[in-house]
Amino acid sequence: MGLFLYLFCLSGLVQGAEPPSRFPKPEFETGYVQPLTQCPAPRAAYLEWVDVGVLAGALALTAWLAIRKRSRRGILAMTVFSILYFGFFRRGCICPVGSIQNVAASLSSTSFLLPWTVVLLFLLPLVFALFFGRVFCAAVCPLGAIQDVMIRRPVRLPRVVSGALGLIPYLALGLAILYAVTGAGFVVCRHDPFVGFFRLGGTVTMLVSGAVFLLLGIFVARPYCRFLCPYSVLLNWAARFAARPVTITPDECVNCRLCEASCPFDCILPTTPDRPPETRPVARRRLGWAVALVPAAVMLGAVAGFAMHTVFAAGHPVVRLAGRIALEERLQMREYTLESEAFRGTGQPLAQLDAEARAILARFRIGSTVMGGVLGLVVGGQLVGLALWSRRKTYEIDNGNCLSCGRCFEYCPVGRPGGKGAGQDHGN
Amino acid sequence: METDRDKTTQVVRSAALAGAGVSGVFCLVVSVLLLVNILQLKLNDPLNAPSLVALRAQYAGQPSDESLKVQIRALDLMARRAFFASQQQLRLGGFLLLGGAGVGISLLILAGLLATAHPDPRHLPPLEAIWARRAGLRRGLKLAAGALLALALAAWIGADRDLGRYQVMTPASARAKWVPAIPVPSPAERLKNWPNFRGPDGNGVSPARNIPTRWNGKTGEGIKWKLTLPRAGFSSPIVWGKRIFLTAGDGAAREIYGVDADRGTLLWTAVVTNVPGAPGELPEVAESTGLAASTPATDGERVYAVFGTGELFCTDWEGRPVWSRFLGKPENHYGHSSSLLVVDGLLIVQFDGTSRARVLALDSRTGRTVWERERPAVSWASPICVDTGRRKELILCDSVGVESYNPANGVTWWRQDCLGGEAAPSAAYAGGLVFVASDFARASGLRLTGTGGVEVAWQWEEALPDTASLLATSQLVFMATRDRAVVCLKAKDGVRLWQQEFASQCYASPILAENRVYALDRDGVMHIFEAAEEYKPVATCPLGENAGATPAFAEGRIYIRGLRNLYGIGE
Repeated sequence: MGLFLYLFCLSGLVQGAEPPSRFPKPEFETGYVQPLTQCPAPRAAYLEWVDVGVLAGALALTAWLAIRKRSRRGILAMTVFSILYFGFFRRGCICPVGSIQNVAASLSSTSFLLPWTVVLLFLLPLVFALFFGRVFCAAVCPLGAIQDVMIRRPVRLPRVVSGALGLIPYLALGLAILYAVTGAGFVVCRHDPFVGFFRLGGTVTMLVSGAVFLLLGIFVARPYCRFLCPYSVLLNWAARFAARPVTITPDECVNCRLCEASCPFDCILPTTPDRPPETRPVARRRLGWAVALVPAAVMLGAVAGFAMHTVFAAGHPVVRLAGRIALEERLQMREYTLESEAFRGTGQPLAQLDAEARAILARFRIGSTVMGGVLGLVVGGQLVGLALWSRRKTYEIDNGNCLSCGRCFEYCPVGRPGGKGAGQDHGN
Repeated sequence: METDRDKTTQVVRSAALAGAGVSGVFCLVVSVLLLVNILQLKLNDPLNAPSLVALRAQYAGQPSDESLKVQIRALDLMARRAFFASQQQLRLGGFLLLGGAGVGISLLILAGLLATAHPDPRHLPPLEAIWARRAGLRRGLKLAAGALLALALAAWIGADRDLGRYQVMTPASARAKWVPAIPVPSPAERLKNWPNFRGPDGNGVSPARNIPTRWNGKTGEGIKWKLTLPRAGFSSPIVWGKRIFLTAGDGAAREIYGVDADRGTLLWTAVVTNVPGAPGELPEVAESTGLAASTPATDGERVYAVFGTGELFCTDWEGRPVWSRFLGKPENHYGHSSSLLVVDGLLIVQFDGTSRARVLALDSRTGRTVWERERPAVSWASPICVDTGRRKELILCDSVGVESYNPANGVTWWRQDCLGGEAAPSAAYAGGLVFVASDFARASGLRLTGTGGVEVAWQWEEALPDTASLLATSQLVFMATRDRAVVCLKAKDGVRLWQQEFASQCYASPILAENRVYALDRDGVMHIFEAAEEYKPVATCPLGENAGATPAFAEGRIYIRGLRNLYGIGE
């Protein structure tokens, strides 16, 4: 029942957290001088280093809890800590997820300053992933942590659905980089669904999308992490080569399938049957087709990216403004928007705005084409990967996708006399 | 067998679940209260409550009623208090909700930790299904890729091929010429009137006849009427039919006046208000320029006026607003003074400044930009548009040179960098020559060539004008110089024919009518002389007050604006 109550309450929280509407200032006739608007001082620089230190400490502690201690409860405690510290205390803004955009923007423009602290925010989770798997996702990322506590009745998604949705993080990563390098803004931050909760305020869209993700997360475990997070792509790549990732069992697997049943993220690779899925010639043919498809997929992706560049560019404020002004000038729009009115107020020549918009469009044309090509390569690569298969005799973790949450080893009966699964016998 | 410890665990778990339920109910109640509060805030606009609006309306009719003022203030204060109390409640409610949700979720986590149920592998798909799952992943991937391709195709079909969606019409893109959607006044109609600064083409030549040569503002001799203007301004009057239009303005207001040309009565006043984007902040301007130095323009249907604030305002014949635009705060150290010109349904706005200098051609019906060109430098001169026999040329001076544009699309015909200093005098055209000058630089006679360009025919660097525009006939060029003289040069070679000094400098531009030159000096004295190779004075007519605006000419009439009054002179 509690869950359904929260369904309703979250909507209330969404409304309650909406920023207060502005109230016009009174028109004083008494000579009262209204005080100047106060701007808070920026945060002290040393505190950014404190944040980096806390992040490094949290990553190290989580890695230790997941790999050495194999403590699900410890990871849960870290989850709560991350929600409180990185979430509510730091208001969701010590964010390796968003730092992708800072890095991309700094690589594309020399005028964009990239502080060392941001470099470390970006790199630390990836370096840890190279050694210990995705311990950042396990309990350190506040976006993941807040979703993790909402998992109540996880369902196993059909593979066709998870296969399709699995492409979205690549698209999100591409768009995040594209918008950052073209100066359109940091879309990942702008559309972060959970930061509104951490800050107790945000746009209605942001709060509603956050509420939807949290409620969906009751049944589909960590939907944002698995099907949207752009940083998850990089973590996935790094974790595939992890030197010492999380393991299900400290000893020989007894193939009880408790780990597979306990994982809400579908990250356990089960044993393979003795009989292969197809004959060797068929498998070879499939692989051959998949490999041959890669260049075609890259080209198709590039063409598709090129075709979509105007759509993507419409997200850039300058291009949007130029489009709006052009419509107004052609009398297709009678009313001025706040933006077009403000622009007209600056007196900047329309031709200059037009030229700026065209220059940005040109950058989008190149960026979208490259992004489409890379997406095509990802699709081709994944099809090649799915055409390959090998036999497995024991249950293993899918290191790229595993979020190191510890649920699998919590229930593993091997070597854990006090473990939750001890004494259970569900083996096949 | 269930142990005591198991029982205790069960009890704690049940208590945690019950606690989670209680916090859920608590959150529910808080949420309902919050929603009601938000709805109230959204539905009730406290500052526009009917009672308050009614009181305000009442007060507008009785502004001296102090009790009404007190009532309005009390109600206003109450509305604000209620608003901020609601805001406070919202904030408190948000925190309570967050706290309740936090407690509830914590208890649910605890209950989860204490749960004894285990995942059940019996519900998992059989191991043989693994190959089918791979096939499913493949299908899903292909599906997603296909969907993205379909989206791209849709985007490609829907996209504007030449990206015109983002394209503002610029000379480079304006292949087609401007074609006005409505009939525009014919050249003959324009010649009958004085539709803009310095007459029909902005060239300072009047075709009107029976122009008076004798009047005295002090005695009233020859003065048909005199109208005291509500506000001051340095702009010149314009005339269309029986209407005179002029502008005035200061920090308090900018206004356009419609005046009856026969009786000299003020027919209407249009106050410039509600210009979209206008910040209300006034630019710093020189006193000698003010905020209403630019002369308005008319096409016989509407009146157009631009002010030193950057506000461009269009009214109909009765002074009702039609459209308005804010052009941006003029970056102009003396103040904006370039006048407007209407050419074939296009309102030409020379908006030169130290930055963002540009010339715009607006659809006179709507004020929308038809074309726009960046300009190289600041100026205070006004555009002229002349028919050279070969084509129409829109000629604009700036502090570097003079540039001619195709008025239909803004394409440059030619440009000659022959000016300098601070360019205020506008160009003049006659007999295939363009004449320009600016103080501390030089005057130039530019001959239009057969190839559509110009060549410098001559240059003159002695006595030069700093404010008044040039006047030219096919034989002669007249310049009212900074040092109180009028100089006459030969048009073909720039040789000085004569120079005549007056008691005061002319700010007003000299006008040619009936082969006579009318030069009004700052003391308000009109010097009338023959447009001839020798100085042949015709008359000297005092106005009785100082003047800086260029007079408007009509059949048998001259309209002169003094510092405070507008004069109708003639029969």
